[in-house]
Amino acid sequence: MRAFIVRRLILIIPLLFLISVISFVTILLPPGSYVETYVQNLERTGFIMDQGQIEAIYKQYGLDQPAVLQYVLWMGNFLLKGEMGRSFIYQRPVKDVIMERLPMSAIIALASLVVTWLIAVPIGIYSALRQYSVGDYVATVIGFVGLALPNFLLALAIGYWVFAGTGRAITGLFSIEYKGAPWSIDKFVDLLGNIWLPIVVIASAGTASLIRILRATLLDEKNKQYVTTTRAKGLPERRLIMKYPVRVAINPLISTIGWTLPFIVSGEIIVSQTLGLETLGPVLLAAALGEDMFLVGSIVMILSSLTVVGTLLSDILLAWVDPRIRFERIRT
Amino acid sequence: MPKDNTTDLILEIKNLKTHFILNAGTIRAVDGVDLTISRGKTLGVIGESGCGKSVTAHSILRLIPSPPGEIVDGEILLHRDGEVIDIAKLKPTEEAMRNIRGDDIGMIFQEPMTSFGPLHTIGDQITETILIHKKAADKSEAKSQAVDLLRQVGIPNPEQRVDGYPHEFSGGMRQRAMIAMALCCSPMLLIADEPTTSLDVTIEAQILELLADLQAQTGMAIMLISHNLAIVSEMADDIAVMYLGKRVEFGTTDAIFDNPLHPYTQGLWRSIPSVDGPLEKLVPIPGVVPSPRDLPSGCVFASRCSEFMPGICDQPKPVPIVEADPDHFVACYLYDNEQV
Amino acid sequence: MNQTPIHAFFSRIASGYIRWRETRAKRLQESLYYASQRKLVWHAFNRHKLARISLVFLAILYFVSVFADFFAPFGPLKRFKDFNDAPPTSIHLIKADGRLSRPHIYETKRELNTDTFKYRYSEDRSKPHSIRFIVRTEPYKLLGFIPMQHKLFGLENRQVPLLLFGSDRLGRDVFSRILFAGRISLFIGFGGVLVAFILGSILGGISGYYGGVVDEAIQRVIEVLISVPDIPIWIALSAALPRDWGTINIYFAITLILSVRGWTGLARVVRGRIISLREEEFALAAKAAGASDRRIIFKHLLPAFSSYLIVHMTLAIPGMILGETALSFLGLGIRPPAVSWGTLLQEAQDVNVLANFPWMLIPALFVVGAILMFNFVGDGLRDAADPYSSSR
Repeated sequence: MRAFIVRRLILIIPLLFLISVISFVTILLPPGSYVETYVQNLERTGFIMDQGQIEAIYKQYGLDQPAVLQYVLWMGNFLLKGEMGRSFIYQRPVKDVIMERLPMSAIIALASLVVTWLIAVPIGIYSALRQYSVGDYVATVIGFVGLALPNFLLALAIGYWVFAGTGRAITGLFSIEYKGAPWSIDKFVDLLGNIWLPIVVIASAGTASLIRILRATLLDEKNKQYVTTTRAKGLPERRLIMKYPVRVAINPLISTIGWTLPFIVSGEIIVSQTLGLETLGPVLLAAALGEDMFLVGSIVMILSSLTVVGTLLSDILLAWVDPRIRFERIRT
Repeated sequence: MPKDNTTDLILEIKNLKTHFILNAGTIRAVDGVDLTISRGKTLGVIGESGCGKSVTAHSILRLIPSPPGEIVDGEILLHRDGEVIDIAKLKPTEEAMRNIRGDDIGMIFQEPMTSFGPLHTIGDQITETILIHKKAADKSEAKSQAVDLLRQVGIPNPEQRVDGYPHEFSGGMRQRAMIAMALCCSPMLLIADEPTTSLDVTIEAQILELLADLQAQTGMAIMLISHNLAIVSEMADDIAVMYLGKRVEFGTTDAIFDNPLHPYTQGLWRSIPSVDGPLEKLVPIPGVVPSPRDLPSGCVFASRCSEFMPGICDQPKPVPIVEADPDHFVACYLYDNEQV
Repeated sequence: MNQTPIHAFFSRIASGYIRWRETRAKRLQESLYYASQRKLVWHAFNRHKLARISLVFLAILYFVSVFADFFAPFGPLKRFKDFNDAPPTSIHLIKADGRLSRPHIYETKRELNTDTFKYRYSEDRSKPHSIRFIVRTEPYKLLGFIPMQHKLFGLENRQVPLLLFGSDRLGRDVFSRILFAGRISLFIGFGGVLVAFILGSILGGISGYYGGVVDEAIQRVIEVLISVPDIPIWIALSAALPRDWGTINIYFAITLILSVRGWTGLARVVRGRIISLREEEFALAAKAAGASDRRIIFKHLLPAFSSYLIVHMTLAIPGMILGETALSFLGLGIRPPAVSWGTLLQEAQDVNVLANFPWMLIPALFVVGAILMFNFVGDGLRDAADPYSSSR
C-alpha cells in the first residue's frame, strides 16, 4: 500500500508541472503584455505612469526576460513565497484574492461531490435491483433530462422559482445583513440556509451519469457466480446484496471521481456566476473579462492542481477499498 | 437400493418441473425428474449440457432466478431429524429456506475463479457462513474453525491463507476453499455442480480424491453433477442419466455401466473411448438436440433414437417409467411390456 | 364449408396479403443475412424508436436553422421600435364574430402604467392581421447567394410585429433569433467534433501503434487534460482572444478551444482499440505484406472500428453544444452581434428579467431539447453498433 502511494505521488509531479506550464501559457497568450494592459487600465482611471515606473514593474515581474525565465520566476515565487503576481482589477496580490475565496469554493465542490453520491448511490441501487419497475423508469427519465440540462440553466430556473415564490432574489451565500460581518454562529446558520441550493444544483449534473454507471455495473454484478455462491450459503438477501455486489459496483464509481471532480469544479464556477456566490468562479470570470491574466492563470493553476490532487486521493481510496487493485498495482 | 433403506433417505425429488417462462415461450428445463439420495452415498447425474442437471441442482437450493424460472410442479423432500420438509413449497427468500442453504445442504459450483466475492477475504466468507448458521460462538472461534477447514481441504499455510483474497488463490486452491466453505456447517448433502470442469486434469483428480476422503470422514451424501462419464463412474454409487429435462435412466453405477438400457445411455457409452477395452470406432449419437422450446410431446429422444418405433415412441403422452431390473429404472417403450 | 362469392373474394385477398407479408419478411431476413455491417447497424438503430424520432427532429432543427432566412419571419437584428420586451403575440383562429377563420393576430399596443412605470402590452382588437404563408418580403439572399423575396410566413404589413416567442430588450424577435442562433450553436458541435476527431485519431493512433516513449508522453498530456476542469481552461483561453477579432475568427477560435479537451476521449478509445487490434491477424498480415505503418493504421485499423468512432462523436456533440452555450452565456464565447443560444440566454441571466419576461428562457428549451435528442441518437447508435452493450 505504501509503495503504491509513493508511486502515485511520484507520478503526479509531471502532471502538476504540465498544469503549471499550461497555466503560465494562458498568462502569456493575450496580445499585449500584462504591463501594457495594466498601464492602460490605470490611464483609464486618470493615472498616468512615467517610463520609470513602467520599467520598475517590468523588472518586478521579470517581464523583460525570455518566457522560460519568466516561468521560472513565477513558479519560484509561488513555490517559495506563495506569491503569484498582482491583480490589477483588485489592486491586491493574487494570492490574497485567491485565498479569500478558495475555501468556500473547495467546500462547495466537496459538498457537491458528497451530495452527488448521496443522491446517485441509493437511486442507482434501487434502479438495478428493481429493473424495469416504475421507479427505474422514472430514474432513467430524470437521468436523461439531468444529462441534458446544463446546470446554469437549472440554477437560473431555481433562482427564478425561488424569486417567484418568495420574492427574494438569491444574491450569494449570505443574506445582506451578514455580507461583510465577521464570522458568528448566526452567520454560519445563514450560510447553511443559502449554500444548499448551489450544492444541489451542482450535484444534480453529475448524478445522472453516476446512476447510469452504478445501475449498469450492479446489473452485471448481481448475476455473477459469487452472488449465487453466497446465496447458497444461506445469507439473507438484503445483506447479501449490500455486502457483495453493491460493494463491488461502488468501486468503479470511486474511480469516476477522477472525472466527476473536474466536472463539479467547472459546474461550481458557472453556477457561482449565475447565483452570484462569493467563490472563485465570479473572480475568474471578472479577471478573464478584464484580461487580468496573472489572476486568471493562477486560478486555473490552483483549481487544476487541486482537482488532480483530488483525483489522486480517490485513486488511493480505491486501492484501499479494493484488494484486487492494491494487489495488481503493487506488483506492476 | 432406494426402496428398502428409506430410513437413510436424505433427499427425495418427485416429478420436479422447473420451467423458464419467457416472452418467447416456456422452456421446460426440468420436466418431471425423480431422484433419491441416501446418507453416505454419491449420486451421479450425467447428461449433455442443457439437459437440466444443473437446473435440478439449483432447484434443490431454490437458486433459480425468478422470474423467469419457476418450480411449477413436484416435490423436493428433505428428510431432516425425522421430519420431512418440502423445499419446493418454500419461498426462496424465506428463513426456513436460508437455514437449509449452507447448513443442511452445501453446494460447490463450476467456476471456482468467480465463486468468491472479490472484495472480502476467503476467511471472512467462510466464517460468515459459520456465523449465520450459529455453528460458532464468536468470530474468533469461527475463524479458527475456518483455518481447520482450510487445512482439511489441503490448503498449505491455512493460518496465513485465511486472510488472503480470492485473487491470490489459484483455481485449484480456490476450488478447495469453496469446498471448505460448502462443508463448514457439516451438511448432510453436498451438491457438486461440475466441480472440476474448469480445472486441469491433475487438479481434477486431487479435488475428486479430496471429496471422496471428506465423504468417508463425514458420512455426507454427495450429488455429483457432471458430463464426464469417467468421473461419475469413479465416484458415484448410483447414476441418473438425464436428457432434455427428463431422467431417462436411473440405477446403480454397475447396472448403468454394465447393462445400459436406454438407447441414449447406450449411445453415450458408444461415444466415449474406453481405456482398457478393445479399440473400437467411436459412434456419435446422430441428430441434434431439439430446442427445449418445442419439445416433442412423446419421447424426447425419439428424433435421434436408433430404436425408434413409429406409432409407439411418438405417442403424445409421457413415456412410462419401467423398472426393467430391480432398482434399475428406464423411461423407454422398449422395456414396457404392455406396449411391445 | 359453403362460401359466398364475397367471402371467397376476401379470403383470397387475405391469403394473398399473408403470402406477401411472408415473402417480404423472408426477403428482409435474407437481405440481413448478406447485409454489410453498415446496413446491420442501420437496421438495429431503426428499432430504437426514441433514437429514430430524435434523429428526425434533429434533422428538422438543422434544416430550419440552415434556411433560417426563409423560416424566420425577421432577420436576427431587426428591431421593432417601441416593442422592447414585448410578450409573445397570441395567434387567433376565431374571429370576433365567433366564426372560424385563418390564423390571425391583433396588433399590439403599448401603454405606460403610470403607477409602476412599466409598459403594458395589450391587443388592439380593432386591427386584425392575417398570417400569410409564403409571404412577399423585402429581397434577401438565402444562404448568402440565392436571391429570394419570400418567407415561410408573416404578415402582409412588415412593420407590424409578429413575435411568436416575444421580443428582447431591444425589440428583436426572439423566435427569429433562436433560428439564426441555431446556425452557430448546432454547427459548433460539428466543427469541434471534427477537430477532436482528427486530433484524436492521429494522436491516439500513433500512441497505440508505436507505444513506448511517444505513447507515454501522449498519455501524460491526455491525463492532464482529462483531470483539469474544462470551464476554467476555456475561460482562460477565451480571455486571451483579441477583442477586435471578427465573428468568423471568434467562431473558429471557440471551436478550437472546445476541442482542446474533446480529442482526449477519442484518442483513448482509438489507442485502446488499436492496441487490441494491432496483434490481430489482419494487421499482422498487412505488415507481412509490406504495408507502411501509416497505411496499416489508417487503412486497416481505423476502419475496423469506425462504428465506435461514430458513436463516440455523436455523444461528444452535445458536450460541445453545452460548452459553447456556457461560454457565450458567461460572455466569453460568441460575441454580439452574432447570435448563439448561449448569447440569447446571457440576456436571461438576471432574475428580474426572468420574472418579468419569462419568454427569454425559451432558448433554453432548444438547448436542452437538442442535447437530449443527441443523447438519444447516440445511445441508439451505440446499442446498434455494439451488440454487447447493456440494453439487450
